[in-house]
Amino acid sequence: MDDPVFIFGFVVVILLLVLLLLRIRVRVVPEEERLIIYRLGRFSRVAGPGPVLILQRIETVVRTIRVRDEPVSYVTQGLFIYDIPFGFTLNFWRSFDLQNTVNDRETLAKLAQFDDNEREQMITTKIREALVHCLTAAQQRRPLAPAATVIERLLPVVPGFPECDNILAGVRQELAQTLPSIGVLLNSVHPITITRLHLNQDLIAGFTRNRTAELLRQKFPNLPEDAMIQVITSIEGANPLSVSRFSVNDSPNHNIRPEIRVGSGGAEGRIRITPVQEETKAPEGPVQPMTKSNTTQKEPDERLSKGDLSLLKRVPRYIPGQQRSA
Amino acid sequence: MANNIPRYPPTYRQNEIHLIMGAARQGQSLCLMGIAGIGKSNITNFLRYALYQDQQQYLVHDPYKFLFPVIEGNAWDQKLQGLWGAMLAELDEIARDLPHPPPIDPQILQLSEDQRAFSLLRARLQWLTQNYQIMFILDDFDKVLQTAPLSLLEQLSTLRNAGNRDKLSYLIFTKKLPAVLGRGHPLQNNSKFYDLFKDAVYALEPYNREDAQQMLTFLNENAGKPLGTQDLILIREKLSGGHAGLAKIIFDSWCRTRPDPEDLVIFFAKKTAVSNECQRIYRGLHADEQEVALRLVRNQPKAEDQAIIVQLIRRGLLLDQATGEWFSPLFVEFLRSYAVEGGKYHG
Repeated sequence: MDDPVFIFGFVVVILLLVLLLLRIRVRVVPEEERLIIYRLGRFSRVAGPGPVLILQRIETVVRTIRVRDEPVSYVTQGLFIYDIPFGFTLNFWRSFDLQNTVNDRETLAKLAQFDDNEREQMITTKIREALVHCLTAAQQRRPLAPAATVIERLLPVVPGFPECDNILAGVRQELAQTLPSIGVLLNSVHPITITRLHLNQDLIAGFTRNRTAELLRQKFPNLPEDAMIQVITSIEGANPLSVSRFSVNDSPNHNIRPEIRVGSGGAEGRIRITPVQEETKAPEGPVQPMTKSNTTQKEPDERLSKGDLSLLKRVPRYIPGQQRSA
Repeated sequence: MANNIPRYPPTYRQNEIHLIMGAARQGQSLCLMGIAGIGKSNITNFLRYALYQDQQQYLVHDPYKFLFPVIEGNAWDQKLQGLWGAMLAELDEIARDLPHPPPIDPQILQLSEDQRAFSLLRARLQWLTQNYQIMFILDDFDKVLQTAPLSLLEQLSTLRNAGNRDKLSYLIFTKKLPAVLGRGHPLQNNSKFYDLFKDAVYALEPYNREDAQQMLTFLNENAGKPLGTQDLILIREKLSGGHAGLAKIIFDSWCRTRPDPEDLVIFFAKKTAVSNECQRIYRGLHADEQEVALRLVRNQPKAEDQAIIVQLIRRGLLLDQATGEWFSPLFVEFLRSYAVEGGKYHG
């Protein structure tokens, strides 16, 4: 019985029996991953990297976490700055690091219950909270003038403006405090950047409209405001393939009138603005003594065609007792 | 003394009114084209105010209930929200005693004013068309068809949707052909709004004898009967030719100064108000129609004028090509003066 060989053999047999009984398995975990291991249904540990022994009879790998420090973009919609709705896409570096962000085992056990997708949702929520806090603070710091334009309202969230940088600094500070509570580490080396400012289509259309109006005003400084509105709305609502011309009187003497054509595509399809000599046309407005010149001349496209003359119908005669439809 | 004569006879514009009611019943749109002063506004007023008061004959046994909101095209301020706002205000006015629709969900944020006005209008129409046939009367719509952006006109057609297509329609009043007015777009090829009424463009002719007589009797009664029955007949038959605007002007002028019965036409043709009204009629014609009208009074029509002559007959302006009879001798006198004086008319 005292034979060392026997003892060694006995131990080996026992170990083999134990291994056989517990079904111990060795799993090699790469550097960028961690294993969440439960034992008999309860959180046991976060394991890895390197070889990890798993007692398969009593332990289960419930999920794998990617702990790589990497840049990720998060879209946050439904924000408001001075009542103007907008959204941000923020980009920053972060990692899921349960072991280094949480000290007590109880919290670690809670955070270990979430997979990576759920943790991403938590990050999105934390970002929204931080943005809302910082936007509120920014609005309190900079009261809005009563007649502020949409652009002025939006300036604090336009990347590059000092107020926007302040908001981002506030967001970074808050995220640095709040993200560890969900097992996430914010990388302090890389900055938080705004990769996209989301604006409502109506706002964008409004900016485009203003830009078009500015260009037209430069070309035609005497163009009346109502004509300008017509031109712009025509351009917006028109199908460029079919709307061919829009003309307005531009001088008190009606000598010159700008002609605006919307072309049919390609390089020639841009809007062309060409001052042309006005053709004489019957004036509108109060009754005045008439001359032939102001009543009989007309633009060529206003001539009555054969097709035009076939459009008009006489009102059908009503026969009493007959129910008539249009 | 109270006027016991109703403004509109029981058969007032019965051809037109039955046509309009039939269209409104089926949610079909139509356009009535008539010269200045022909009585377009009277039809509007009749549909808007008198239909439910005096003219029950049009509604007897009719299972439908109608609303005729009126939009003045000349009052359009060339802004989108202006038109939507006007339509909404008119609906509110005309349906002020009807139950109000539920408010729009405040969570739905509309950024632009016109978008907000349009959404409100659409919601209001959805609500009202559950119980009513609505026909928007777009009065004096020449300017809008001519100058409004196509997108605005198209939005008018989008107010009609699967839910209210057979309940919402438009009655458009113009002086000129819509296709010609909207040639800049052009309406004929591009517009779903124009498609709504392109096959239903009708000429609005001057009043028939009964309608003209009723109008003059009503005016005379209101003024304390200054004119005799024969005078009214003369205005109706020999002077105004059923043109509402001319009839009113002649009546007023007659009340102030009794004319020489032997020379009625010349007497009234020299009146500034009459010549101004004739000038309004003339200027409301298409330039091609103006040219042909002048050639007709000079007895110099060309062979190619025939199509336009037919158009003038269809409009009720030229009554007989062979005799050269027009709806009103005063208008002929105006055309003749203009033609004879070599293109200058001093009214």
